[in-house]
Order: sequence, then structure tokens, then C-alpha cells
Amino acid sequence: MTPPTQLPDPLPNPLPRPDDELARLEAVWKPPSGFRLLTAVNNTYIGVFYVATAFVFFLAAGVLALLMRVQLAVPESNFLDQATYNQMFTMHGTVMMFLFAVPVVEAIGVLLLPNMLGARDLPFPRLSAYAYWAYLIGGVVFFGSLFFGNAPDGGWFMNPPLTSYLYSPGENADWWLLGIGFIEISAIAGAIEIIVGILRTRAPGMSLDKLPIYAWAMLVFAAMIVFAFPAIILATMLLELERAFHWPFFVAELGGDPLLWQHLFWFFGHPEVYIIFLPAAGMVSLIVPTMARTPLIAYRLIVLALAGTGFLSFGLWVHHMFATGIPSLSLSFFAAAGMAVSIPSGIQFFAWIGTMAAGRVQLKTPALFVLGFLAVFLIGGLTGVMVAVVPFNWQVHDTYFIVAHLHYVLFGGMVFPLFAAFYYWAPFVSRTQLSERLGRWVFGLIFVGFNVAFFPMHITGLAGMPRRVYTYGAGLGWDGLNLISTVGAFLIAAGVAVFLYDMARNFRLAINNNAGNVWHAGTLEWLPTGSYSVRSIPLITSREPLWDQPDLAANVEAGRYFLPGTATGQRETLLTSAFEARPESLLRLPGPGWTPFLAAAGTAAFFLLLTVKLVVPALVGAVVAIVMMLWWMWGSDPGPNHAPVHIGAGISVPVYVTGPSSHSWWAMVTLLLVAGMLFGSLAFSYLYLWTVAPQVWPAGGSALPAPRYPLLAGALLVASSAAIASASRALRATVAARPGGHWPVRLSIVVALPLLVAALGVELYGQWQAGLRPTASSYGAVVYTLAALQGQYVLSLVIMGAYTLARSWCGLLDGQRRATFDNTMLLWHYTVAQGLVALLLVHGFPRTLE
Amino acid sequence: MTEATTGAVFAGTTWRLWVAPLVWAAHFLAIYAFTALACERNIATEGWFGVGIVTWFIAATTLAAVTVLLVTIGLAVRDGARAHSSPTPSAFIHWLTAALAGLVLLAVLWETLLPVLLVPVCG
Repeated sequence: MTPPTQLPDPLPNPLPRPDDELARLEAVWKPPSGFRLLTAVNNTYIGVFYVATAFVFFLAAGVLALLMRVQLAVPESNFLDQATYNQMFTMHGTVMMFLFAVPVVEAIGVLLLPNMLGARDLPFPRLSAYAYWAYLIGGVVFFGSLFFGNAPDGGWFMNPPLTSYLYSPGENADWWLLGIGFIEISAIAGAIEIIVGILRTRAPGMSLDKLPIYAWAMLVFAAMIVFAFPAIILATMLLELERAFHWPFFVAELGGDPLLWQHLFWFFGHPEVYIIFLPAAGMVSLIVPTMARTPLIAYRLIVLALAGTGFLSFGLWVHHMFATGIPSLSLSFFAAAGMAVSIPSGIQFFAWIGTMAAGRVQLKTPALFVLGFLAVFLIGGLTGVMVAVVPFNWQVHDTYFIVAHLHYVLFGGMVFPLFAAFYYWAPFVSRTQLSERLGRWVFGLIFVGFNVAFFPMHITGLAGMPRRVYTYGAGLGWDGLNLISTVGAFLIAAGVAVFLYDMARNFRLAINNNAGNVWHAGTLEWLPTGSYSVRSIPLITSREPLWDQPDLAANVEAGRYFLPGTATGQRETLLTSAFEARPESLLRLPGPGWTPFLAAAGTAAFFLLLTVKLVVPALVGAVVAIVMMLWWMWGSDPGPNHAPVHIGAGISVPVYVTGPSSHSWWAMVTLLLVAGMLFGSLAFSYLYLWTVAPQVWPAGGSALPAPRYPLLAGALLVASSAAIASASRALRATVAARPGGHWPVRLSIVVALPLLVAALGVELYGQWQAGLRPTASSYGAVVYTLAALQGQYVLSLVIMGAYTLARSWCGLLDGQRRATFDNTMLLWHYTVAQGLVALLLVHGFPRTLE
Repeated sequence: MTEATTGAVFAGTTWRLWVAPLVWAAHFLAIYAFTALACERNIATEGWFGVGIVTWFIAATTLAAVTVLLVTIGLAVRDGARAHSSPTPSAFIHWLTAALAGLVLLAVLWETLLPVLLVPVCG
């Protein structure tokens, strides 16, 4: 099978198309209606819900900002008391970052990417739905804590010791730790979906060098989530363990260190800025060429810039810790990295300006917001280089200069492009465009308001006003500046109000009958579309297919390209190779169902009820979530029960694949990267705590468990992996028709499970025998946390192993139908590898010390 | 080209794409961790031939990183030139591999030479 790289003649499928082909396609993609919309899984619906919810959180956090600005408008104001103000600035930052910024860019990806890639949907529609509902329920409850005076109040970065049990004894901080920790899980689910979607579901011919820049940006964005978010998940786990069980990770007198939190938080927190910025930059890279009516210049350099930003931004976390007493040479590594990362951002800037200069820019509302973005983000970038200079940083640390800088970067780098995107892509999901006249008002008010609000803060900060104060004395030179900032904040609010009016007047949701390609753009999302995405999946030969193939839209709509109907009678999309996008197989997709919603509700119940210490109901929630997930998984490994299908151009593709060809294999490998980062962050914590408090470490091994314990645990782990490998070999020989040949597979799994559990038991027993207690020192706490993390995977594998056995007994597992087993096996080997490295670290490292 | 060699070429080419970011991360973490330890354990004043232990360590890791990056650039340029004769998307990946390695080369040198020359170690 060698799919064509040039347009075939004739096109892949001939006319006329069968009479009922379109009707059948529409029928399988028909969305649920009424209250059953809760069961929708299609990316278009989930994408719209997701964007709308994130925008509501933007409004809610914006209202908090206005209340704070009212309080700060005049000195010595009593509008808000200190405790309420503390909750408000904490919630403003937290909600903007975790409930608005990351979700909204992820949401726009969910909405746009399948159409832009020529796919019918994302590869795991139920995972998107699950991630969305978990985010919605978790976010609403989290925000609701504000109305009970119970909201977190330790600042959006929650630094201990302020946020630990001693100084924050209530539930406020727990809402943050459990609420945000679990919303991060939803972000990671979305990231895995996006990575696999971009790499495996592109239209034939869309090789990586023809991928729209927005998709490149989303790929880097999702990869950054995979590498950055585990650090914050670990940090929240550690702080919650300290708060709930007094495991002293951050208590200095027991060998802990509050700075460990800052390292973990900012290892996530600085890349987070770019996690928000890159998707926005990707949007700009699509809007600019359309507005300038010319292809984006320097495509390859922009890809380089996106990838370069993706990893260089990880070298900046200490950027936020310049005032914490870290060695000056170390500080200068980070200062230099901070300057180095401005190179890729500069490349993108020049590419956008160059593209605008090369074409003729139509000054429509999206273009205005892009110009606003360029101006505002540039100022934010320049103050960023200023704060990367260590001595300057010391001067402005924790002042309003930083507040101004971060808003120029985040509002400039993300909110301006987002409004550009709202105006640009509204016709993609609405029957009519938004108003050009109102759009200009929105832009004018927001642009002027933003600069009036935030530019003076640079000066307020240089004049010495600290961040996070609920009021200030008169006559310090801050009075007038604060009043101006407050006026600006209300101008922004006025701009947002006009936007809401524009939406109410002109936005009419339309998935099947949208306004069409009103901008004459070149990318695939502007093809005629329905809830099934495109009628037929086009063959791509360039980066702006709609510009270069004038008849493309008509031929796609006529069903002349690939897969013009449903080949199996189900929802489906093409799986293509990751590099050159050659058609490889057909992926059958699930339709509407209750399981994602109920699983999300169960997950949310678990985390949120745990926050208020309702342990038994929380466990019921966990059981509901797990049962719902297993239920949804049960039907998702259908096996080779359908003959290969013809998709057009004489190409026939299989309907079921396993191993590295399967989309689920790719998702599992991505998940293992997340797991690896989580473990890496914990290993870093172990070594970091040893660096700051070697006195609580057992030097030379005298206080360690005897060597027989780790040796036995290691042997059990290896034996467990070997049993699974043997199950894999035995499975290869099995066929569904001969049930008798399955017992070696089942036996191997049954043997492997207790070996895994026993290895964990031996490690815990050994440490306990040696007298180690998690509450006694940071060493004990981190050693038991390593075991607890291992325990989490062991528990997952107990469930997955039992599930795999159940499928075997039900005749749903054999040599061909083995995707379930393969994924379990991947996690199994990973868990064993992680366990062995942990044993080496915990038992080997202290023995090397004198 | 058979399916197997397509897969092998894909794995080989994309694997090289990760070399530059990994070298950058390893180098950055190594110099950061070593400096922190040297200051914490008061060994930063030790050294040979009038050059401190931290500077020796940074010089050695930087030399190793630069070597790997130059080799990566060389291989990518060579394979890119070959791929160019039969235009495939792999020419793009080779270009990206070399360009990323170039960017990392700049970053590694910028992050080490300037600080080491200008800033005291533990301060």
C-alpha cells in the first residue's frame, strides 16, 4: 500500500455517491438532544461547552479583580476586609490560571483540531468528555468555596509554611490542594488526547512539514503539560500529606524545606506561562496570514521557535526564586536561560511582522486584537528580560512592578489573542459572524483599559508598593496611580460587557450550518462541516490547502475524497502514520454515553468530599468513577470483527490494529511519560531534601533495613515482570475459537499480581522494621512517599490485571484481540522499572554516604 | 521501501530530534545541581591549577554537551542533504534536528560561559 503524495486523478472516490451515504453518515454522528446533551462526546459539542465554561470562569475571576480594584482605588479603604481580600487575590490568580487560561486554550484545541487536521473527531472522545465534566464540576465547587468564606487564601502559589497545618489550619488550603490537583488530571487527559490526535489522525498527505502552525503549537503545548504538570501534582500531594498526616516535607526543624515547594511549584509554574502563550501564538500564526492574505513566512523557523520555547522555558523556574538565597552562579544560569528563551519568541514576532509586511492586512477585529497583542506582549517580554537580571529582580521582587509584568505577559500574550480567536473563529460555530462595529469597541475599550490599568503599576511598583496588600497608607505616592489603575480595570470590564452584548446579539450556535469561510482562510477547519466534521477526508498537498486547491471544498463536500460515508456503520476516523500521514487503519469511535459524565462526577465527588473529610462518601465516589471507567473500557477493544474497508483510491485499511499501530498504545506511552516525570520530581525531592538536611539521612546504611529486604523486593518485581512477559508470549499463540489454550495467560497474570503486591509489602515492612516513621523526619516522609507512589501504580495494576483476566474469561482476549493486555503490560513493566529505581535510590544512595 | 524500514527510519530520525532538548536538560540540571551541592557542602573553594572545582565541572560538562551537539548537527546535515535528493518530509525533520541542536548550542554556551566568567560561585 503506497498512498499517493500527489493528487490522484481521478479523485479517490467517483461520483455519483450512493443515495443513502450522507444520510447514514449524519445518522451515526447525530448529537443527542435535550438533557441527553450530558452524554455528548463529539469534540464539537464538548469543545463549545468547554470554551463557554472557561469563559464564565474568566468573567467570575474578572469580577474578583474588579472588587479588589475597588478596594485599592483609595488608601485605607474598608470596602473589603483583609481576610476576604486574601481569599479574593488567591482565587483571582488560581481561577485565572487553572480554571480559565489552561482550560480555554485546551478547549479551543478540542474544538478546532479535528477539523483543522481533517479528522472526524479526536481519538478518545469520551476522555475529552470526562476531562470536561471533571473540570466543570470541580471548578464550580472550588469557586463556590468563596461564598462560604472557606476559599484558599495563601496566594495562587500557596507557599508553605504559610499554607501548612500550623498557619492555615482550616480547610481553605485543602480546597486548593485537592481541587486544583484533580483539575490538573483533567488537563493531562486533554493533553494526551491532543498529542495522539495531532500525531495519528491527520488527513492523508498532511506530513509534519505541512502541519498548520497552530497544530504544532498545540503539540508542543501538550508535551509541555506532560512534562510540567506532574511537578505540581507531586507538590500538592506532598503538601496535602503534610497538612493531613504531618509528614514534614516543608518543616525545617524536621529536615524539611519550604523551598522544596517553590522548586516544584515553579518547575511547573514558569513553563505554565508558555503553556498558555504557545497556543495563543499558534492562533496568531493562523490569523495573521489570513488577515494579510499571504502565507506565513519562515514556517520552519517558527516550528523551531515553538519547539525551542517548549524546552528552554523549563530552565527558568528559579527565575521566581531569585530572592531565596540560592548561590549567585546558579542564579546566573537561570538569568541566562531567561534571556535565551527570548530568542524563539523574537523569531515568532519577526515572522508575524514580516508576514503582515509581505501582504496587505485587512484591519478587521481579529487583526486589531493581534496588533494589540504584539504591542502589549512586547512590553511584557521586555520587562521579562528586565526581571531576568538578578540585581534588578531583587529591587522589584514582590512589588506591583511584577503585577504589571505578569499581566502584560499573560493578558497580552493570551487574552488578546483569545479575543482575536473569538472573532476569527466565531463563524466556525455560529450561523453569523460577530459584529465588526461592536468588535472595534470591544478592542478599543480593552486595549485602552488594559494599558490604563496596568501600565501605572510599573511605576507603583518602582515606588515601592508591595503585592498582595489589602490596603495602604495615604501619601506614599501610590494614591493617584492606584485610582488610575482602578479606572482602567473598569474600562476592561466595559469592553468585556460589549463583547457579551455582541455574543448575545450575533452568536447563534450552529454545528451543521455555520457561517462558512468568511475570511477566505486557507486551513481545513473552513471546509464545509457538520457534526461529522468533513463529508470526505481530503488529501493534503500543501500548508494552505484551501488556497492551493480551489476545488477542494466542493470535492470534499461531494464526497470525492477518502471515507465519504461510514464504512462500518459506526463513528470512525482515519488513523495515519505519525510522520508522513499515510493512511494506516480505520479507528472506530464511540458515540454518546453516560459513562464519561458519571465517571467525572464520581472523580469529583472523591476529591471534593475528601477535602471536607467525608471519607466514606468520598470512597463511594471513587468506586463509582472506577466502575464507570471499566464499563466504558469494556466495549473499546472490539477486536478484528470487521473486514478491512476501502476508503478510496484503491486503498484498503484494517479496522483493528494493536501494538504501536494502535492509538491506545500511543496514549499509554504518553501517560508513562507523565508517570516518569512524577517519579522524577519525587526523586528530585528526595535528593534535594538530602542536600539541605543531611543530618536526618542515615549515613552509611547502619539505620537502613537489612540488604535482604530490598534484594527480595527487587527479585519479586523482576519475577512479576517476567510473568507478564510470559503471559504476553502465551497470548500470542491463543485464538478466540480455542478457549482451552488460554490458561497459561491467566495463570501468568494470577502469579504476577501477588508478586507485585508482595514487593511493595516487603519494602514497607523493611522500612518499618528498621524503625523509620514518616512523621519523624523529612527523610522518613519522602521514603514512605516513594513507596506510596509505587502503591498507587500497584493498586491500578490490581484493577487492570483483574480487568484483563475478566476479559480473558469472557472470551474477549486472544492473540489478535490484545490491545487491553498490551496496555496493561506497558504499565506493568513501567511500574516494575520505577520500583527498581526507587529501591536503588532509597537503599543504595544512603549507603554511598559516609 | 518496506514497512519495517519505514518504521526504523521514522524511529531513527525522530529519536535524533530529542537529542538537543535532552542534552540541554541534562547539562542544565548537572551544572545547577553540582553548583548547589558545592556551595551547600563548602567544597567550592577547592580546585586545581588555580581553577575552582565548579568551573572544572562546568567546563567538562559543557565540552561534552558541545561535542554531542556538533555530532548531531553533522549527522543531520549529512542525512538532510541525502534526503534532499528525493524530496520527502524527512528533509524537514533533519533540518529541525540540526536547527534545534544549533539553538541548544547557543543556549548552552550562553548559559555557562558568561556566568562562569562574570559571577562568583557561591556569592
